[in-house]
Amino acid sequence: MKEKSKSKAQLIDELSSLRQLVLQLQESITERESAEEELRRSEEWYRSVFENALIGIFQSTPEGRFIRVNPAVAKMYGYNSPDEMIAKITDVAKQHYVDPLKRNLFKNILDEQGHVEDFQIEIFRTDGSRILISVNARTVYENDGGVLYYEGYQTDITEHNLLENMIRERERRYRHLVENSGDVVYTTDLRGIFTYFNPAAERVTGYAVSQLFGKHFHSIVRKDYHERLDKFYEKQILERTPTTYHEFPIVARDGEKKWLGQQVQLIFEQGNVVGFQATARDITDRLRAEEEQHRREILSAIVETAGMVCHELNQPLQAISGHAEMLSINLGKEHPENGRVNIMAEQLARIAGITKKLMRITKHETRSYVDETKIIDLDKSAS
Amino acid sequence: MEKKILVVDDEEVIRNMLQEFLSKNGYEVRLAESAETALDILKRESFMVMFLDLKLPGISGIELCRKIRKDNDVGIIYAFTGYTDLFGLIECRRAGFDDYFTKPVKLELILQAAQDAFAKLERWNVDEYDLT
Repeated sequence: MKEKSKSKAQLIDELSSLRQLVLQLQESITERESAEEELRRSEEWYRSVFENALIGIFQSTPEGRFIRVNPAVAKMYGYNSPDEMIAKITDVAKQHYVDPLKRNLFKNILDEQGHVEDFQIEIFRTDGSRILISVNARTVYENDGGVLYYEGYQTDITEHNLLENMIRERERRYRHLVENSGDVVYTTDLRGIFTYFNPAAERVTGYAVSQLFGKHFHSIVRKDYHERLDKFYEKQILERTPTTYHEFPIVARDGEKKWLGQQVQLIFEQGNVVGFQATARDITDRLRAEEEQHRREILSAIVETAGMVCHELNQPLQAISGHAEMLSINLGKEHPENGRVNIMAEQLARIAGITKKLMRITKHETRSYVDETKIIDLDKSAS
Repeated sequence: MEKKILVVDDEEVIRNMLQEFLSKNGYEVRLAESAETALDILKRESFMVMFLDLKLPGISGIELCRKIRKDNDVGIIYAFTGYTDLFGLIECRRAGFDDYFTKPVKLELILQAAQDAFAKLERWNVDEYDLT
């Protein structure tokens, strides 16, 4: 009765309120469905990331069992699937570690620090091959503080490690070569200040590497060559010539003059010349030998020429001196013209003396003649 | 003993001068301008004293001396040279020369050498043997 007593207006209001409630309920349902959908999508995304990640993601117990692994981990160890791996591994250290004791170290770090970074473990794969993995992990604790499990990710760094080792080995080999080279190897900055010197430099220059480091290369070069060298290397920079060869004299610590023959390469950084890299060789002995050879060749040419001159001159000399002698005999000692014949004979003897000296040339000694002209010093050259 | 001397020199002036000089001093002189001519003469005549120039066209004086020495171990052979050194001296001695003279050499010395050679041959009584 009471309901009936409600006015029409009241009924309309109630109906309106009910509609409002229905609308709110519908909105609430939609929001919840939307949140569920969002959660479902999010889970799907994480699952996809986990399943398809190229790096291995895992959860494992301190005892060495795996709780969860993604396909990348299974593949790394050589299993067909994560399920197979989880089922078959009961103690990862015993079953897979090349050095099982390393597991203790891994656990100790995780237990003490709560996390581990780039922990490298060499493992046997199921086919017996060995790979090197790098593990980053953290400890997940129970509410009471006990260790629940470890989780983290791992990557196969075998190739990376091989490459690093190769580079390291190559560097070691190059360093060994440079450090043990008989040639001087050094670098300078753009100003010519030494920035590196190998041990051969000590042997050649007599200076300790520490004495040369930070000094200008002029400090070992003979003074009269400073300007010439500066110009030579300025030109190399200007023309950006990658490699040049030049020979120049240096003064060793004990004052000895030596000659270096050096190859210089420009050092570039981002297209700009920042310094020089040089390989220098002590060529003093070679130059001395070349000089000696040159001296011998000159002497040989002189001796040959002298031989030819002697032969060609001595023939007519023999004829003239012989006839002069016969003339003197024919005229008789008392003849007034005999004096002239004697003068001729004396002068011929003088020429004969010169040809005899020419025949005894064993050295190349010169003396000044006119202006810059030099001629052979016969007295000094003939033994 | 016949005082015959063979002179081998490619310079005509020198050949003629030596012939004139040695002839005046009592020697019979035969001349050859080359080793080849000298060898021809030696086929017909025997000489115990010879003056050979080392520098000859064709066969050298050294080689000529070696060839002569194959048949004549006793004769006195002198060398003339326009140029020589220790190596040349050794080579001359090995080839069989008894002595050598570097041009220009005084005629007086050549005469002395000729006289010494014949004196030596006399002392050896070379005439008593058929050495050719």
